[in-house]
Amino acid sequence: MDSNQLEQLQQWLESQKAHWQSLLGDGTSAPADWQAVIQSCQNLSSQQTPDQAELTASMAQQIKGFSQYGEQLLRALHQADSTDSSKASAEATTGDSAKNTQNTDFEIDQAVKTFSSHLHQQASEPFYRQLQLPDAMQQPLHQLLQQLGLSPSEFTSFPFLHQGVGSQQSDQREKLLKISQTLTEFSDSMRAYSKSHQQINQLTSQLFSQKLHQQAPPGTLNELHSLWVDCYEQNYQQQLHTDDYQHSYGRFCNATLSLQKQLRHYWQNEQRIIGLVPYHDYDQLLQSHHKLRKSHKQSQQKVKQLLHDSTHQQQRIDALEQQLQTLINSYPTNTGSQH
Amino acid sequence: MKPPLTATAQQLAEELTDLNSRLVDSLQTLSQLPPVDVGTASHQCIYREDKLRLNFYPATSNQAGTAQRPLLIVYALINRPYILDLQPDRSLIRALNQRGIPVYLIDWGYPDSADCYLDLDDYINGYIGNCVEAACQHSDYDALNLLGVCQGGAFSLCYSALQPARVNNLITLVTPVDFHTPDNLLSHLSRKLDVEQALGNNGNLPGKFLVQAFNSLMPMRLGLQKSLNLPQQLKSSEQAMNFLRMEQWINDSPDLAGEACREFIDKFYHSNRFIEGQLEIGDQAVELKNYQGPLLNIFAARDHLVPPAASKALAAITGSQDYTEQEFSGGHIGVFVGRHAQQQLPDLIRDWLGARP
Repeated sequence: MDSNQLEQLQQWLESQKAHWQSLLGDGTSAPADWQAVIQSCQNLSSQQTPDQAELTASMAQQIKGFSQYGEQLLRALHQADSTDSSKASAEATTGDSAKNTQNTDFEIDQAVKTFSSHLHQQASEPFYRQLQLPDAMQQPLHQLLQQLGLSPSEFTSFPFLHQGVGSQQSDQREKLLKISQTLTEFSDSMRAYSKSHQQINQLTSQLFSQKLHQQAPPGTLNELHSLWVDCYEQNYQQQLHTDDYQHSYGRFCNATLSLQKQLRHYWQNEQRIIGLVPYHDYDQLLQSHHKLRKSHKQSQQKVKQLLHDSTHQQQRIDALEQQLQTLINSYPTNTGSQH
Repeated sequence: MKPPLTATAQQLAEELTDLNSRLVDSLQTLSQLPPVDVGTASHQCIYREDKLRLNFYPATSNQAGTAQRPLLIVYALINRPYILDLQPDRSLIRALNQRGIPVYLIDWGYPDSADCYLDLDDYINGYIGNCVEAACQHSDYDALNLLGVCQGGAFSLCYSALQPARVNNLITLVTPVDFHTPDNLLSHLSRKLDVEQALGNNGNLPGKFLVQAFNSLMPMRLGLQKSLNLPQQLKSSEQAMNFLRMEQWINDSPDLAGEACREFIDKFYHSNRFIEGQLEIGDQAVELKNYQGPLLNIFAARDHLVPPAASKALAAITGSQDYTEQEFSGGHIGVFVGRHAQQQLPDLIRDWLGARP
């Protein structure tokens, strides 16, 4: 990080500090622009591995979300503090406190709901990203297929290719039909899976609220966050062990994987037409390669064993020859002449 | 309703200010770090076959007074074996070397499309068999001590049942044996998966898929909470490097050879063949009763990937006449990278092997 970037980050930090302080007073200082932080993460990514860069970006994103939620809560708390002060003076003059207290409680209750909602959203974003499917699943099928690059019109800039591809229309129709069926299964299974997660989210919010009522409230926002995570994991673990969840998880995973696989294999015929090796053919080559490699290794083992046996035999022959030679040498040389 | 926090507005503003400061500090720390280094213990490659490398880590002391029989470590196909030598002060291999034990470690490498039809026969009878051969030749022993980690433990059980004469002592570490214990969540979920669909373009199971599957067992703790608390891990360069080494290992997940993966899930996760019997690798029947030598079975008390019950099932089905079980505190990985594990685990292995030369 060069001095310029460092200075920008320090400026950002100073603005944030001023903003937090102003929220305790007149609230006139605007929050700093998070773009400076995002930009620093991007600059940093050039010297990081992709996984490190993703982790750094995720850290910045989480802290941004946390700070934004923190701001809402800070406003509510500040209002509560102010109300308490004014309530004290109002009580001193009129003895009436109920109305103001109700308003403050509503703000904080609302803030807790917002917190749950914020975390549910933060949690679901990476989940949908990991499906590695286009964002537009809810769009009509033809739009979706176009986005996936599955329309033959994509080839218009290559007329000779278009002709070949065009001759495969019935094949394409069949494949589109299969994809459409898989999409339906994907959509149904996602609905069922989402329902499981909605239930987990709902139970998390209930447990979170229940714990906030029953236990001493956390001292910090980070502890509040940890409490929510504990509630989520507790409910999630319970759900994970149920047959229903496992079934919907398996169904959804399989539908997603099936869709990914169909998309990968979609252009096989067209690939063959234009002289590329389609996946199926490549796969057969790999299978043959493996068989040959295995058989080659087995042959090598046999050769090794034969060499070993051969060496052993040779050693025995050498030993026998040596014994023979010893016998010959020890045989009296004048024996023959006596006979 | 009570307020959700006991903090005052002033205290909350301070917490947010502090968090923002730590974010800036973290970015500064990250920008000054050298590249992450792992697997730095001194070693040499003594055998290569396809993507596989067999590395030798010589003993660095002679505690027993005489040369000790070497230990061949068979790691899982999932993730990389450098977790056993993550950094100098978190290295089971170094700790064993320091206790006089020479180590051979199989590094499976990164399978690609050329490896998608490798099956369990290739891995167990082929690769492990050849590594044992190479290590025996290199060390001048006829039989070795074998240590299998997790899936590598299952492979080692198979190998020692098929070639008992080659294994002097067997150690299994966090090894699944009964894949159908009720608390084995990974098994429940994997049984719902159609592996055929999961194989990627290269015919292998993508490593990324596995990372996601493991993370999905505790999505919030390993997702949101980890990211939010990251500045805690990045306070100093040393802390940051420790954290990033582990992160690198978590994400460094090679693809799994498609056929071997399919076979492993079918034979173990679906059919639970160690327990149910009729396990075959290649065309050979695997009878765990065939290995009757000493066996040390180590498992972790809070292992959410291989629950203790899944490992302890070995006691009932092994043919070992000298079976020992040892529970360690901690989780699946903590058992060999946790701070306590750096002393207790290598001491246990040294003492157990020392009593069975």
